[in-house]
Amino acid sequence: MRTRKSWAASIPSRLHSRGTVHLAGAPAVAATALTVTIGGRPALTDVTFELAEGRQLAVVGPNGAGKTTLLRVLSGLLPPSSGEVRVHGHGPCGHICIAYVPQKSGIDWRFPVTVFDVVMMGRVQRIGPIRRPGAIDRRVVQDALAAVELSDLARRRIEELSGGQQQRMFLARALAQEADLILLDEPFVGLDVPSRSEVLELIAAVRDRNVTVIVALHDLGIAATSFDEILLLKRRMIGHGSPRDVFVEANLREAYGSCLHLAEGESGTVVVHDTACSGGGR
Amino acid sequence: MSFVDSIVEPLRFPFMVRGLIAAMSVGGLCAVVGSFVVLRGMAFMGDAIAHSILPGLAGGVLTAGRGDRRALFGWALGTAVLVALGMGWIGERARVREDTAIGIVFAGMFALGIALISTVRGFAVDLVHFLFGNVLGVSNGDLVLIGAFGGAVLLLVLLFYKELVVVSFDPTLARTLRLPATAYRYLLFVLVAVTVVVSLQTVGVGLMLAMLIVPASTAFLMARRLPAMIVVGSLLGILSGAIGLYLSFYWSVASGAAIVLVTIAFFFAALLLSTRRQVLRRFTNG
Repeated sequence: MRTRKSWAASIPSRLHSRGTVHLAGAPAVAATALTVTIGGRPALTDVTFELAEGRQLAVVGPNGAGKTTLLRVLSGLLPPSSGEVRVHGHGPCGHICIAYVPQKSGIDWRFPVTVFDVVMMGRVQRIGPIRRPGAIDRRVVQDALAAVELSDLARRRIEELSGGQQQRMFLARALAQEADLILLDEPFVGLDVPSRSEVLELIAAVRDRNVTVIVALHDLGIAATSFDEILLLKRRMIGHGSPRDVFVEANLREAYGSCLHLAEGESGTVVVHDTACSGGGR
Repeated sequence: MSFVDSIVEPLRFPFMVRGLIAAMSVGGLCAVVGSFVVLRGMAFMGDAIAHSILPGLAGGVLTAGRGDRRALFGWALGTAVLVALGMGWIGERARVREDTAIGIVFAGMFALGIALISTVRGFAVDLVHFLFGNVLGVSNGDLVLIGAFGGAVLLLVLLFYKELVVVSFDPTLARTLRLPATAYRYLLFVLVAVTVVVSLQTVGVGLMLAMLIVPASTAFLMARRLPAMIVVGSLLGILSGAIGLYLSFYWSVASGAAIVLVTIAFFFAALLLSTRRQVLRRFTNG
């Protein structure tokens, strides 16, 4: 049996009645032989992996490796050409417990909504049509805002947020949605170093809620130091496992070719510098 | 003549009372739906739906005659809803840009409408009413139609408010929340279509777009949150409808044009105020 997180334990069970019941004992994510073809060209070929509940996975790889494609397939937004995705034992489309934060969210930041309003949007499906948000919904939203330390900015218009605050708002929305699987696409792009570590800390804090997290990113250093597992991708899966197992020279050369410099760190860990000749790196 | 007299005086004419009710209802309704039009960037679509009604009206005139208001309303409504759904459908499937698809439907339907209506004797008057509206010709039956269909639109917006907001603000979220996003998108298109038909007689096709976007944009400049934007926008729409109609009464200008010019005046006043406020804020922030 899966256990509900403590913060949600006090919330009446009717709120959990929507969506698919999780299959006991099934991994949070199981991808089998995923192949995606976009416009006749293969974007992903034969990707197979499992991720246990509560684990935090970094999906890394050079530009065009299929990181975004993988997240879109896992979220159920993009059907795979072949292969299968199971989230807690079921197809992703039956779930409302998957939160997906795309890199380019396509949001008009001048939209007249506050941070509170946006986080409340994560609850729209749970509230159900015609009904209005109740006291419980407001409490869940306030909890989520507190968890990402945005309570002070709840009444701010979203156009007044910094990049780091925007990411924290999306994280809060995922929490308010009561997502059990959170997919983040390049959440650190465009953030300065302090806000980057702030967002990282908050992602790490989600661990207490037994939420599974998958983050696509191109910064191998962050991936190696802050995540349980790594999935190294270059249109097919080059490696999956702990950072130490995946970030070995052979894998990295295969993924990045000669664009990569490897150096031995003090404690024996591999320090990786992605010089990113494919562009997009910083 | 005192101010009160000048307000009361025109109300001696029943056509003025009906016109006022129509103009104010339409002003309020257009701003509510218009708020979504403005925020989603659907202005061109709203304009296109309005113009595309013409062949429907021509069909109504040809089959039922121009005296049968109910039939004409039905024809207009059917055409508008079909066009709205068709534009959504083409925009989803065709390999052209959405605005191109809308433009093609828009031009094709308008041309078809003119071709049809040019076969009717005395079509010039029909065309003028269609293009510029005839708010003083509103009958009691028309008011019932405006009330019923306008009320239905408002009710649907109220019932599905939070879903419409999510679909307008973040379509990706709508899909990951497994909301029937496409259904809500089409609902919004249909709401725009019904609003356009309800407003047709008051402002006409030519100035329809203004009623949809100007009061809502003015409210956008003034309000912080969407509910406030909708309320302020509809108040401005109602006020503009009333003021515009009085101006047209006393100055003998076309009523639709007068109403729209009032909305535009409100917009520029709000624009001036908001830029001054921004300049002030920048100044005080150093």
